[in-house]
Amino acid sequence: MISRRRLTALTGAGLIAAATPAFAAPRRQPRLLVFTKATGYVHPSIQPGVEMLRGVAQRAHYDIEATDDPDIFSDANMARFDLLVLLCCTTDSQHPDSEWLVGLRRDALQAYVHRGGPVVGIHAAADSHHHWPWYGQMIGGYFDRHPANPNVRPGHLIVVDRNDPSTRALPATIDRQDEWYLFRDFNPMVHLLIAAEVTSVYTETDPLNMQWFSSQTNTNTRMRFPEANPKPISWHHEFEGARVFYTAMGHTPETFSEPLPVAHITGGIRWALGHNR
Amino acid sequence: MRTLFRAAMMIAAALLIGASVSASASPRLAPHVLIFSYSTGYRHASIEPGTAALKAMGERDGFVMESSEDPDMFLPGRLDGYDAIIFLSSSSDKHNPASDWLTGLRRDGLQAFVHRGGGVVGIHAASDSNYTWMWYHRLIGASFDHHPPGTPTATVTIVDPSDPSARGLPHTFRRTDEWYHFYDFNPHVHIIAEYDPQSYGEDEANPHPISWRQDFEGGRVFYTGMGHTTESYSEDIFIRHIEGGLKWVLHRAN
Repeated sequence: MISRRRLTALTGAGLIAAATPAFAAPRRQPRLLVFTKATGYVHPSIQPGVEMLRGVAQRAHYDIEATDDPDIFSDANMARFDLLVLLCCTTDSQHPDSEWLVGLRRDALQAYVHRGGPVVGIHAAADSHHHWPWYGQMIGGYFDRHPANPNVRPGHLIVVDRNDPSTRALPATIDRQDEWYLFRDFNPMVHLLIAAEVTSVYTETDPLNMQWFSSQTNTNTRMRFPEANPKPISWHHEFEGARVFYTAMGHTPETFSEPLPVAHITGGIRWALGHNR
Repeated sequence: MRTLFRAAMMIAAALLIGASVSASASPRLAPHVLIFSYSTGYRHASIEPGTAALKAMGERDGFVMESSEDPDMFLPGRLDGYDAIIFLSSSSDKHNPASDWLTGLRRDGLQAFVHRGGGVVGIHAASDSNYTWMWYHRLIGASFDHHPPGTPTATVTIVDPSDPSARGLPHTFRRTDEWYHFYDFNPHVHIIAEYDPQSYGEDEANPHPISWRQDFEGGRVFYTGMGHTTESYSEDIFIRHIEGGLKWVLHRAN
């Protein structure tokens, strides 16, 4: 299903490019919704993240609203928005009743996605609604775990696709501190944008990489061994008619004042809006 | 009479040479493939019938197929005559690191084999093996994590129909197997097939990778998580899948 807005963007792109600004029909600027409700871990990075997104909106001439009221997920409310940012909006994986996308709110989010409404997920947006598989499909995977003690540590990132709106301003590799997520139930068909070298997350001899971990969903505890392969960090995919961009970066408040993550997220928003520059 | 016999022999030889040349890219001998199934972890009952089926499969293609369960095959030099290795459910015991058999100089032998362009095919429990050696799990591209009980029937989807291992296979098919869930999956590998855990009632959101290939440090690797059951090795779809994967790692898929 192609939304009217997407269709307009596709068929009108050539016209708009050729036309003077006065010729283009007066179009309202894209309106962003930043959603931050957290019934699981509450990230101190949420407020800096909202401030960063306000700055992005100002520079790009978007309208922006931020809320943590889950009643925003109604058909009438969602009709006002052109992009949804899910910013560290956790639930508690052990407690299904902590999930706030329930009942008609689910219908409203699905209707938004099915009309082509884009979604940008940041960090703990993947640590949410572990008991609603559609949500995990939309994001493309679920948070499983992260290294601990310390949880924030240096990571060496490889930009896998350098020709994407979210990565064009980035160098080929990035070294920065964050909490590095490992995912479960990851959709291998998403388009990978950035990966982390595992040796930067865990070293081969790191005792943290040799301990017993309990899975988020399985009650059985199982032996984990040294991780050998790169880890997905940022990706995008087309999902049921909508564009979804996700990055696992954003645990630390500092993330949202660092130029590279800010440029990455800014470009991810542009891509999700269909602005492929 | 003798001249006639000689002429007939020459024609026969020419035909043979022609056949072997068209079947193999290089004028060298037919590819030598080692089926390796030593297992210190779970011992799959499908190994013996699997070995027989894979030998028959490779011999139909003109390959020389041999099998071994001697881990000293990986000592430096021992793999010199081989062009590909098939790791057939060659498990170790996840809970007993001492059960890993790719140790010491055997590691050097496998690495040298891959670095000179040797092909590797991993089947099923090839990913449930040698957990203490990170290089091996980079070679395979993932590690076995767990599987749901029994052998349910799942829907498999080919995501790259142009891959040699997917040729002649339907776009989607249902088959019975033990369905592996992986951890430490390398998102860079080229995925050939995925399966849907929801198709047999498991509560997972996303499709899971089941077959993939990658170029790795000079060699080629094809892996499939399928192949637990004995029945797999008499299934046309499964055998074609492995055959295409083997040809690809041997650079003989056209």
